[in-house]
Amino acid sequence: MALAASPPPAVLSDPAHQVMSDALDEEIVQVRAEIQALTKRRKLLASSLLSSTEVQTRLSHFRDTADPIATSPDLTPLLESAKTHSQYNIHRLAFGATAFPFHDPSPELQSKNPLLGIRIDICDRTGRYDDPYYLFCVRAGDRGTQDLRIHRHTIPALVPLQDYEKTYLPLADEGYGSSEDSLAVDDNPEVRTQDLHGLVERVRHDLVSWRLRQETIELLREELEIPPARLPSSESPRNVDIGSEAEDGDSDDEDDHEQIGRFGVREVSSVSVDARQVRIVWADGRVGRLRISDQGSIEKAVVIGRDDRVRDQERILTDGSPRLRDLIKCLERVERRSSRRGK
Amino acid sequence: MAPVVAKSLSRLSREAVIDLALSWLEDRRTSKPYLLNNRRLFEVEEEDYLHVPAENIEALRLIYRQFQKDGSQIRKQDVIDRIVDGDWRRGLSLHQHASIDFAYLEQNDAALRWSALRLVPLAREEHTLQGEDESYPSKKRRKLSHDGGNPGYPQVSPQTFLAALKAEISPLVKAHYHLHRMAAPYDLTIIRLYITPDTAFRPRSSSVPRRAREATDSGRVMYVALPDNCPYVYVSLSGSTGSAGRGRGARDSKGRVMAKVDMATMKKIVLEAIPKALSRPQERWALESTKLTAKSLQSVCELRGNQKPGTGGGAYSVFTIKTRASQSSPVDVQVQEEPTESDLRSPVGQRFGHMTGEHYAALDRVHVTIKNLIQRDADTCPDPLGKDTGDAGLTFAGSDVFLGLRKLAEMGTAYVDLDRMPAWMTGEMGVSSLTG
Repeated sequence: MALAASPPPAVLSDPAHQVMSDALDEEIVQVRAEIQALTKRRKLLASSLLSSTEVQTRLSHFRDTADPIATSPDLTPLLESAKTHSQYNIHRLAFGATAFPFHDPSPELQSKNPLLGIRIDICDRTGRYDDPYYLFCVRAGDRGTQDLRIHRHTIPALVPLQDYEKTYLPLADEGYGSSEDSLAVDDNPEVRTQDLHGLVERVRHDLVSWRLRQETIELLREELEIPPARLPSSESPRNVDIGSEAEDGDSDDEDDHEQIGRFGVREVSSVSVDARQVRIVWADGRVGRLRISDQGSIEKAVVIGRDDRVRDQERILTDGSPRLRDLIKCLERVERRSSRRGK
Repeated sequence: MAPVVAKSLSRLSREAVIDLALSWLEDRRTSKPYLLNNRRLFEVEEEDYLHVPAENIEALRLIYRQFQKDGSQIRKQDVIDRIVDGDWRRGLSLHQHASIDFAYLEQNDAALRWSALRLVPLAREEHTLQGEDESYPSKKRRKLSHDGGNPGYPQVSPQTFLAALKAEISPLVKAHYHLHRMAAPYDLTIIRLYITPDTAFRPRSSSVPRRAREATDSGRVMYVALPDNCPYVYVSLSGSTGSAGRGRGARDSKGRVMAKVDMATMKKIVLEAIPKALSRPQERWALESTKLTAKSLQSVCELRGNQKPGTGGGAYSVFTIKTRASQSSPVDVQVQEEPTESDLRSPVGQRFGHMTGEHYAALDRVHVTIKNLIQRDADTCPDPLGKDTGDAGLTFAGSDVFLGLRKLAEMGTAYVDLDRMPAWMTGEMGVSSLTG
């Protein structure tokens, strides 16, 4: 800092001066922090003011009527950026799927630019957003045709996009890539119309239900007070030799967690990435598997106890195909049942 | 046996070797080390006192734990010597060989060469064959599958798959199977098949390979990786398939009656059995190529898995990176400036996109077939063979092909003309063999 360096070295040894310069340093730091806080506050106030519709209309009205010299020069970009930002927010909040033009720089697509980009935003339960998923469609024919096909995408493989493309975006003329798998659909004129909305809806449905399943499992873990121990969806790495093959790999739980959640449940986790199957481990060694449908209801359940399947508990878990979210209640009933039997 | 095993062990790091030895000594393991309490009389006579056998398994475990603790005092070579000539002087089991290979694979992403295969439902074609009212079943299926539990890929339990695969191939191929779960970044279950030289037609009294060279022969090993929840299977038919089979054929001439064991055929049988093992009644699968072969397992997972790039690399990789804006809440009124990277402003950056980061997948070998190449370029580069319009095959090889092409493009238009550079040169297709 300039202040600390400016006094001559002889004076530095003086304790009084030392104390004083220290005090000054501290003051400077304080002032800087204050400036930072104030700038932040100013930004916040400005953007909140600008985001209110009334202020915006009045400002733009003012800008239109008043002479340009009177308006402060730095107001316009601020106004513009606030406007685009709020527009962007509204789009994300309201639609979840947004279309935008995209210019592919590669030479072979110059005649087909701009491509149709589709962005799918998915909100999670904390109100934040995942990284968006993108889908890019290109016109299939040279000119004149409105038929689209999927050009590029960033959608995980658990969404069977190629199947959906065949179902929802059948091409009138074959000749692009997928001809070897030409479907029966192609021969029928009435199914040939492309349904882009259907495709996007379907893909989004899959992604959202995937997200929901994952979150419900997270929520369940929280409600059952299971500590976030390991990575979800990955069982401990294990080697299974063919000789010592465990039954469905479920009985090899030797890693004892001391923490046990409510209702004697030790672990609730999704079996694999797509969270269509849930694995429950009780503290007394019972292991359960649930199959979750796209709607988030429990389709099937298997509970294996110490020696055999526990049918009555399975029945409780699937009774009336409850939602996965209501699993807590089912688990409570299961717990009551098993404790009654234990006595 | 020693040199072969020592060689395969010496690919690993010192820590990995010790970890492996400790894992072999776990209670549920069947590998029997050479110990004081289980050596036989003639083995005692042959003992060479270089590696004194341990008292029992617990003592041996302590020795290896000590190795682990001592850190750098003990060289890797010494540990390997102790394993090969000392504690496992009787030889390693097939399970141990398999675990060595997997330890190497976990350390070295590019240990094998993987091909991605896609699972396609067979049922579709049957519908066309039935063909009375063709549009009807497909329409019906669409409605059903909208909410039905048919996710478009088979639900694979590795153990069940393995049992089915075994049932499928065991009449023809005798093999040792090993299941291994690869941890976090991969999330894969890999099955290693070691195909034994015995066939059903030539049963021998013991199925133990007589020489260590046979047990480690990479030509006899193949891998099948089952990624979670996607319609893909990755296979690795490692080693030179042809020569191993022929070598075995030569030994047949010793007068013994043997069926010729051709490894390439064996592996083909296994490959054909994979979709059958995944199939169930009413749900049948077939395999088709996805034109992707790469050494890096990570790249294969990125490009054909539940990861981001999908088919979007190159110019589209902008969309796969994590953006700050996506993290912000939509009711947040504050405008946050995003750091725009200068990297993406340049034309080269625009075309090639991000070539770093977690979702970037490098390919080590790319083959391109360009049709009618010479005709198109005849005016720019006169060629003595300019008249015939042939196809040209190009193979790029290296640790990261597209990064290299990008570097070339950065050197200026004299090397790569960006305006005429086709999209496949940026790697955005996510395939390793393509037609341009």
